[in-house]
Amino acid sequence: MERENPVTRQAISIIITTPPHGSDAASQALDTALACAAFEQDVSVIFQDDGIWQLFAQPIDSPLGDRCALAQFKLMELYGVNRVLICAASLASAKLDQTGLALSGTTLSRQQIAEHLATQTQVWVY
Amino acid sequence: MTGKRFALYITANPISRQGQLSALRFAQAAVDAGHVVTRIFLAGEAVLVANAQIDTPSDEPQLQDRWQALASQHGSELLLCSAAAQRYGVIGDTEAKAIGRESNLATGFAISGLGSLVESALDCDRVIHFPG
Repeated sequence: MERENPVTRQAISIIITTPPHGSDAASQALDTALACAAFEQDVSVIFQDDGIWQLFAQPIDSPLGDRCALAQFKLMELYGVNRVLICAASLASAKLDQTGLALSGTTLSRQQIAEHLATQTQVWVY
Repeated sequence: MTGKRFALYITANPISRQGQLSALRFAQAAVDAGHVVTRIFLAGEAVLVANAQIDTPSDEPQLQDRWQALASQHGSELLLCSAAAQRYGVIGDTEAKAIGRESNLATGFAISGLGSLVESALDCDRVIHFPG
């Protein structure tokens, strides 16, 4: 890139609201999160609403095919995406809790998520 | 009033969704209000709008023409995510040569990487996402 890289660091939140299978939204979200992390931005990934279903292990030979990004989500740590936030209310409304999550993260209330988002410079929803 | 610098991040399908038309209208309103739309970054199925072989029925919004007009009138960059372009069969000159096919990238669009989106987050006042 010809343009000079400004040495600023932005707080970027990526919110995943879509379940696995049926769309490639989570995979797009993940690509974006990793790209931002690779450019040394401060990235948070938030699983909310139906997005929480991304956090549960799927059968390896799922008859639904490969529209499940869980394996790729494990790259987040490698790329330095350290803040994985999970909406507690979304888990509760699906009658789920943190046991059995295939990806670890911090569960937060809607209020805490709102407070976090208020500190962010970019918020992108998938 | 000092104009703000906007970048648009579009992942909406140009054919089946409203997002690209909303983005165009947003861009026009921003420019009319004295702001600058620096960059339009198309990712996911949004890249389909840059396929030169698309033949949109005449009574539907001519999104490709309208993006080109916006870019040429206001100097906005029209960039495609390279991974998405590859997946959706939008091929630029360089890629076409490499794989021995014809380019189908419409005039005014360029193929770039997700780094351009990050760059937008850094050098624009606002990045607006049009997901669908």
